[in-house]
Amino acid sequence: MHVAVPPPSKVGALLDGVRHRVTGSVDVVLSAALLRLVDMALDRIDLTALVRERVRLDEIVLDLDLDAIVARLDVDAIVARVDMESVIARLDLIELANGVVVGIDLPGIIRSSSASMASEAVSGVRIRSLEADEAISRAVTRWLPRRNREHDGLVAGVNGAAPADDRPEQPGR
Amino acid sequence: MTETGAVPHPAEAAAHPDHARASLMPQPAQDWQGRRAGLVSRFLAAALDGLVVVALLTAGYLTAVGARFLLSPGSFSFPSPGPWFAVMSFLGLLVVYGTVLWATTGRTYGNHVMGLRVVGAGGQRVRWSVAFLRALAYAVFPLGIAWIALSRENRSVQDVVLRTAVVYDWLPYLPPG
Repeated sequence: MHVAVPPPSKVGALLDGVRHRVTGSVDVVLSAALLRLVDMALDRIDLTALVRERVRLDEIVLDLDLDAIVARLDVDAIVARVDMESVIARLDLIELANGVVVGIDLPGIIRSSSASMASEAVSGVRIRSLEADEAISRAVTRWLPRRNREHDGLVAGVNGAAPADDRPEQPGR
Repeated sequence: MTETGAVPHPAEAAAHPDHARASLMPQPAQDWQGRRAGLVSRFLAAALDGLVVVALLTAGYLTAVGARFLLSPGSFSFPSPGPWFAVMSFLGLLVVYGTVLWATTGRTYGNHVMGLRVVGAGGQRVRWSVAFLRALAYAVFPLGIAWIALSRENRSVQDVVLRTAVVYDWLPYLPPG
């Protein structure tokens, strides 16, 4: 009996076709099985918890170039979408204003600028007297070398007492 | 008290340690706040106080004269107290005036005009007893103020004895506490 044997080149091509077909089918089956498997696995795994447990998020975040991300943001557009009026409505402006008033001691400024504070004329008299005080002090120091002017100093706890080092040689105008 | 060691007031230190206090005070004056005042400022303040007491005495005399006139206009004549009475009234009123104002606000009217304040060694308001003794000492021995010129800490004799100080303090009040 004679069996027609195809020439070697044709056999190779035939085998290639079979192999392609088989591997293609296996690929399809395996892909479907794998997808199904992954689906099932993901259904059973709490991925969030897994990431939290296994991934060092801090390190990843540290590696991010946040500046570049921020630079790409259109902050103006974001702000434009904010309802500022509702934000302002939620602020307690009175309390905020009270905080500012207390912070800068506004009552103290008003007190010191009005009745109790020196008028310009009185202020001038005080400054002149202060200069005269200092002149006398200097003169006496010259006559009495033992008098040490470093010591005519500061009384602790009085308003605005400045350290002795900051003291001017004489009050300027 | 150390002469150079500025101890911030507890209230100020607690409130705003690094916050420069807003003030309308002229800059040259700011550097002198809390320092012991010299002879000229204090002499002018004392002279003003003397004038105030004389004005108060005059007002009191006129009030008494007016009352006397209203009570008996027919036999009215100006009372003429002797010089001894006038001097003693002046000194007595001076003591009351100084005691009350130094113990309450730390400043007489003269101190107020000159931007001065009488404080204790730690910068605190003086006690009533100290204020009284200080006022009495000034009434009896006003020349004690001259010691300021010779004292290296601008102290009068009264300041030395009673451990008080007179400082430049233009602000209208002492910090609370």
